[in-house]
Amino acid sequence: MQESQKSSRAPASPTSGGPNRRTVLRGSAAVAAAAASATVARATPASLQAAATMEPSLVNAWALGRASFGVTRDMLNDVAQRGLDGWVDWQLQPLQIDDSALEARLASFEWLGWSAAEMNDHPTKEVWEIAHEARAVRLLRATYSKRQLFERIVEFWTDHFSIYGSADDTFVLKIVDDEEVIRTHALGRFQDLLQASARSPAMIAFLDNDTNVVGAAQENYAREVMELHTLGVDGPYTENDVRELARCFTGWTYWKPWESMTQYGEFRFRPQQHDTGAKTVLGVQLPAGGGIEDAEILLDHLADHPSTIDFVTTKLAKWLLGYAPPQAAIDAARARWIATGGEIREVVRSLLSEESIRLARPWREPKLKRPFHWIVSLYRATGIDLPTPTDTIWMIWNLGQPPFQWKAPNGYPDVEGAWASLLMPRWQQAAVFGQGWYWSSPHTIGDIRALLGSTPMSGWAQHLSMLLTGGTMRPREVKRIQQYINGFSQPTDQIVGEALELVASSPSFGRY
Amino acid sequence: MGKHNRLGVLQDRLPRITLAASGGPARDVLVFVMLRGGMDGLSLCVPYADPDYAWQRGNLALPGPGQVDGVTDLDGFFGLSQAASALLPAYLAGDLLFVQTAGSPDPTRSHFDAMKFIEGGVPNQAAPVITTGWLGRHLAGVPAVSPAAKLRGVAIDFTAPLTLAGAPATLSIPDPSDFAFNGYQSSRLARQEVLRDLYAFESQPIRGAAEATLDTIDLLAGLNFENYVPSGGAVYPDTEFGDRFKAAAALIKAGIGIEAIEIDRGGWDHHDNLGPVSGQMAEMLAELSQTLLAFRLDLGVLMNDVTVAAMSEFGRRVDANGSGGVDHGRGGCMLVMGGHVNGGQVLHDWVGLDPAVLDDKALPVRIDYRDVLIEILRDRMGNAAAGALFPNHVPTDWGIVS
Repeated sequence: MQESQKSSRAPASPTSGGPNRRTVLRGSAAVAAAAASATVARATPASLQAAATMEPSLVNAWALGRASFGVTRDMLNDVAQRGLDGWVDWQLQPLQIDDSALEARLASFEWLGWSAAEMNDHPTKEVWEIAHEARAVRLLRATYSKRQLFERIVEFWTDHFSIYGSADDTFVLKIVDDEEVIRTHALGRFQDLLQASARSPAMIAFLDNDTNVVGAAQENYAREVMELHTLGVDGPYTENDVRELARCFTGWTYWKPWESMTQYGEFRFRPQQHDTGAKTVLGVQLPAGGGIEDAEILLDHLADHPSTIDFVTTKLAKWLLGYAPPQAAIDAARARWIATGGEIREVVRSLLSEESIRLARPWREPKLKRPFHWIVSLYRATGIDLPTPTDTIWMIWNLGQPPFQWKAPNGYPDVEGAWASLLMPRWQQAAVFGQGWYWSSPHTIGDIRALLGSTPMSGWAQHLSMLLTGGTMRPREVKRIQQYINGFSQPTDQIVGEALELVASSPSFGRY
Repeated sequence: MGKHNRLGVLQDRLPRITLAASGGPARDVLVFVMLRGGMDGLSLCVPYADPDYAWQRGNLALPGPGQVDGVTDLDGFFGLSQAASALLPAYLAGDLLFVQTAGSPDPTRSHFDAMKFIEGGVPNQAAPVITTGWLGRHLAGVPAVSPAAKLRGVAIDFTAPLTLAGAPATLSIPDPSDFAFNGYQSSRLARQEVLRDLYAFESQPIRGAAEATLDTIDLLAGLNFENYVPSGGAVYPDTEFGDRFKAAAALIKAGIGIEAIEIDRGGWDHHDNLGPVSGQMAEMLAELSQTLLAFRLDLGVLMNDVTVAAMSEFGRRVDANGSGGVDHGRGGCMLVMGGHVNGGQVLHDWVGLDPAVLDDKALPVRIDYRDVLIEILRDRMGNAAAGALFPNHVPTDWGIVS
């Protein structure tokens, strides 16, 4: 057997996956012409009880909320023109969406696209500095990419294949994983994503597979790939399957700096460390003498397994449709998975169909934004600029969800109970944001005032609720905030900032 | 002490007089610690005298008392890792109990399932959907120790642990010194009232969290965490975990009616390079034990009204793997510390480490974690119905607290 780094590895394909770093950087640096100041069709906030007669514009607003990091006026205009299905179809071909404004912002991160070895050998930056900048890149992409649905799905896979970016040796390896595994395959075939993740040096380092060797198999990755990435914890595997699968993965490692400075951080299969004995995993019999293909066969088996299809489809449905998604929507998405051989793009398309959205009724079953989502949606809705994202990351740290910092392999939780009792950091940041007081964000109260335009004070709450929630804010919240504003006779800086603060702190803005 | 055989343990399990649940002394504050990742209890409370320990652990085995890097004898059979020697004062004072062979009866070796069942309090059961935790149900089921208490439970963390789910007046507060309501202070109360109204119609758990947050602002603002000086010469490790215990001590001393605090420490998943003498495990044990030492010194006599319970979702296998680590196992070691803990001993139901008696290469679970918690909740937390917090379980009394 030959040592191999590339066996059956799918090349990063810009057509099958999302935008990878090369295409991002190739794009024109020209900033797209500012969108014309098209006004949003003013939707009357409908009673939440009137789901059956929910206005199409509000259905769309809720659907966009689920499919993005925050609804903007531009998005509402887009969906009004394209229709929901058309908007989703457009978003599912992210490379065809011009993202040059974002690319211009990313140009200062010179290491984007570098190999792990190059980053490790950066002339001026330590790896932890690059890792910190990578969190800022994540913030910029989530905030400014026009490929919003793609970024939401990237977020999903980042948690599904969660890697703690400050574990031993994952600082730059996670950056490579983000580009070459998550972003390359986010809308591609699940099988390719899984195979790429299994070869990801960051995953190998995080789950210790680099120490999984013949004669002394070590089960960390083998267990989690079945429990978390594919079959789910209730899937049909046994402790014996865990140990047998661990044997399949013996010898899967990556080049260490002391082995090769130039190949550092590349996948490496070491045949002499591979257990060549016969194995049986999940009923699949592997004859003696196998090599790298032992685990490849099992990964393909896992990717196609009915339990995987159920588990991952249901989890995606929870991500996009709600904590308790309707079974019919899950079933439809699962059927698309099976029909397309696991094309994630088609599964997402099914979940975001107008039919599935209406079944899920997000206006009745709103989700709680996680902290990262919450702050990004605030920047998106207001258009307040993020000129110093590496500083803003510290705010996100205080909010509780810095990128790539969840320490366990199960990813940041996406259940309401995990975040519901952490309102104070949001309220704190809403106040600071409203007044323009955050040390790293050079916007001023004048920028907040500009959001109000010529709206009379008596209409501020309504105006800001449209801006921040696209009309999905409950009328009683709008009314209560307006009542507070009415207590001020003059549009002072204080009440300008507080009006925004209260809308940003409201339950409706916290939901999506 | 010296209760290293099963008989010794049985002698501790005599019927005892239970403190009056009502009209008795004020209830303890419980500090619950989840050591997430699967802590290797065999590297903390080491069965150095078991003939099957050293050969299975190989070079991860800790030497016996008196040898280089050797353990400190606890009872003639178990020894304490040198890395954890900061626990000795509490042990020798009779305030610290090790519960070896402890754990959840659920056989899963999945971190996340094991934690879910332990925190939900429903191991080994086909529970429908687990939405509340045992400590949350406890707080919901007993009246507040102080009727005016605005804050009864705290997770010193960003995310809320399942253990506390369902608890009234309970918040996640990662840093109690940073709980101020920002903005113009002249309008602070008016803005807080707006938020109170906005969240009044929300569903749970958001509504309760908003209410508790608003009710807690003034309370914490008055405590001056920034300038908190520990008592008794206590020095907390300069780590997040140490900081969080220091904050817990300040909260308890403030006497604001807090009944339960959870502080987690992850990172115990040592599949490779365990390092029980000078590596990762030793460093983490040192942090844990120095933190508990500082906490005990800091609280002083208040430790008579506090119980600390620490546990992990499972222990690790007895045999070392090829990476110098240990894979997921079953039975582990709980720690219980407090002025009314029957400490100074290693409680266990030891069956040996002969591979023939192991639970698929792991220490079998012989003492149900629920039994340990039920005793604490019943005898120190004033919950006569503590057993009912863990459905379908008939508890055994082990004499954990008095």
